[in-house]
Amino acid sequence: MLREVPLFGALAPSLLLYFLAALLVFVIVDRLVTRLGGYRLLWHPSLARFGLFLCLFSALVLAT
Amino acid sequence: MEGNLERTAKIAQVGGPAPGLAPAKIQQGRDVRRPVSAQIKQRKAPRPSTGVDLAKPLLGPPWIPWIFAAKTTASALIALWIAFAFNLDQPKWTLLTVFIVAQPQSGLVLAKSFYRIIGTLVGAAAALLLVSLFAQERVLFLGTLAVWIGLCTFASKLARNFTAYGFVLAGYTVAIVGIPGALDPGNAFFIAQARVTEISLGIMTTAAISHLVLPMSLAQSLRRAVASSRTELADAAVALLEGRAAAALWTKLLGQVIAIENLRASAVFEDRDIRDRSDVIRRLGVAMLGVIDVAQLLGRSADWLRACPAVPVPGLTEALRTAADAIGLWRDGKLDAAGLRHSFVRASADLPLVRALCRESFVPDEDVIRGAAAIGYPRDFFGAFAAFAEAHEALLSPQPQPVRPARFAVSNDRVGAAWAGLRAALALLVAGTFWILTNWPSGVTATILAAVATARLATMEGGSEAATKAAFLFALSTFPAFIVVEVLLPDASGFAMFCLVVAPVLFFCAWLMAHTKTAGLGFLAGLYFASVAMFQDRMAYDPVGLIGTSLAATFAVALTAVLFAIIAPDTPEAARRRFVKAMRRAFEGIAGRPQVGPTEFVTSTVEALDELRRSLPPDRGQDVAAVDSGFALLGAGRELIRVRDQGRSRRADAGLADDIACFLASNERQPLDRAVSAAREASVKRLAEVRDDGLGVADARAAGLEMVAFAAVADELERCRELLFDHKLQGAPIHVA
Repeated sequence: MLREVPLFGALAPSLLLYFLAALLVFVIVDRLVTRLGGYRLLWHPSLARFGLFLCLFSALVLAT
Repeated sequence: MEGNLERTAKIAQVGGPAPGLAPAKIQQGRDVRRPVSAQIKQRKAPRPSTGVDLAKPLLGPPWIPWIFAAKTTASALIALWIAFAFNLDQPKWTLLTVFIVAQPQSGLVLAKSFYRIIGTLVGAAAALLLVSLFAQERVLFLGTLAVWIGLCTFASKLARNFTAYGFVLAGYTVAIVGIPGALDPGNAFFIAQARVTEISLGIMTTAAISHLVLPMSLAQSLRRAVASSRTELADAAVALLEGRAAAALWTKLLGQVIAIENLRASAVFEDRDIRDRSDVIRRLGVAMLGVIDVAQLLGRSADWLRACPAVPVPGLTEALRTAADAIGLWRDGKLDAAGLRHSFVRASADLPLVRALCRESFVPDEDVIRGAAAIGYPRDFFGAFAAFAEAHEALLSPQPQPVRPARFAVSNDRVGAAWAGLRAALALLVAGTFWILTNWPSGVTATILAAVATARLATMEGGSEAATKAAFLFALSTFPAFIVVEVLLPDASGFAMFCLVVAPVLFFCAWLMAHTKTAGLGFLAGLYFASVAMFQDRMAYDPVGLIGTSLAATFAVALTAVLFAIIAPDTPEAARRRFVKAMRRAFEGIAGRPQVGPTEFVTSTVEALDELRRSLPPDRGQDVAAVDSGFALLGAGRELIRVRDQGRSRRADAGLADDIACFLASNERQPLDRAVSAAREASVKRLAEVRDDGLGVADARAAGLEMVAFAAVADELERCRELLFDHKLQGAPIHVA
């Protein structure tokens, strides 16, 4: 995990960048699952979506 | 509203389909995307007994305050824990944010969060700009800061719903970030970054918790509101057609139209299904307004008929009974919109012809006109109600049909918004000047809090009352806050113990927030506790600092209260003036260019009327009269627009609208008298036209309609005159709007 990233001369927290990247991936995956109807099988779709985002976010942080 | 919620919720818990409730298929957005055949099958099949239906509230309405309080406490503690774990500079802003964002409905949190984050970012950027420009010159700095906050408050008053909230935030984030930034210009960027981080953390935590744990969705409230308004409208219509008085019901329905429109505006953020049906819901609101409007006229004409049975209107009672039965069937779900319209057509067939009535030469002109109105209003009412039923059916249909979007005009109050902006700017200037002159150590807090309080309260109802209460509350809560923060907290070790001490206070504040009556009190108490306690990962206990902050908070809110009382105070007189102004503009729009359409006129007037109703104390007879006369003006304006759109007599209605606008401008009796007699004359003239045999069928029909419309205008204006002038000396009128 990187600590801080210089962005136009200012140091931005790397978590923010990870967050944005994870958001991008999440939007794609979310669209896909919605189209395939995956959320219909679940009890609490919003909880599942939250969990999915959390997984993507942590995976991205841990992978780099 | 509360009672309805309870009733619907009870029915939902039992499990059967509620009579007024939308079919199960539209209660969950994701089901709608299934093919239509699947829905039909699903409707016939019994509900599966296992599995939780999210459309049903898990716990009933009595639990809502407790759930809300628990959720808010949980999100506050989680946010604080994260802030401690990441060692953020000032976790108190996180806690503060949780209390500002917390709302019993989850949809509100999401919508608010979106705008709040945008507002925060804009505010932080503006603060950095101001710091980089004027950090050395504190007078110039505070001046520009005040101007910025004033502008943002002005914009927030003009904008609607959550856009307003974004503007308030852009204003006060500038104070939160800018003042500490200016004191330490070298670290301004890091301060801004820290505040934005803390605020965003609070927003996200609250949004996540409120969305995940026992969500209470706004879309559901909207559907429930629509369902209950359907039942209530039907009840009121049946009562009206059967000749029972139901004035209170109609006024309540008017409030519900506004409530539905506000819910819709927020729920589009939350639910894709609602977004798709947004226009249909608007059409439903407009149709409902139409029904309410005609109902007023019909009710009065029925009263007149009962009082004066000389005019023969054969078949009226039967027609009304047929219609009432049909509406009853429709309410119970045994008749669809098409069937309802069919029944209305049958009922209208029972009504006598206006032309036949006009031929009755032995009845005085005025009675003939009233009789014609008594025939015309039921027809209008049937048409309006059928339109409502069709709009409702369109809303429930599985595939949202494209509709012509209805234009909802909003009556904006630019002057009021300008005053609010001035007030916010002055709050910052006065507090800042006081801080500079006295060199008060807690002056920073006082200035920031004064700016936050004035900017935030400007968008709330009853700001001055809330500020006055809060001033006393803050002065009193120094002692309990001192005990909690300085006596109990130092003995707590570890986060668990910290929670044990802090949670009860947070829970109590949130619990107060959940009740409408104490919402402002709870919100301010939470705000006070969050800003006074100054939680840190490594707490530095500073009793003197606590008392200083407490004093600063009290000073800030007291200043706010004083400013609210001095600058454009929110008195009933001011409310009435605002209303008269809005109405004048509406009537000028009828005659002049650009012309307002009927929907725009009705919606803007109804909104102004609702604002008036909310800002007046309910027990003063004179104010009730003002609301009631507002109703009368609404009816008069609607009929005038109708005549105008018929396009046969441009001169008469334009002159009338001018007279009414003139009356509203001067508040004198003369122009109103002139308008009444002009309307009466126009009506008699139309009667003569109808009696004239030279007219073709279409023309005679149009003349008949205009006759009724002008008679209605005259009636409404007379009622208005009676309320405003004749009852002035006698005190409270009997009419209750």
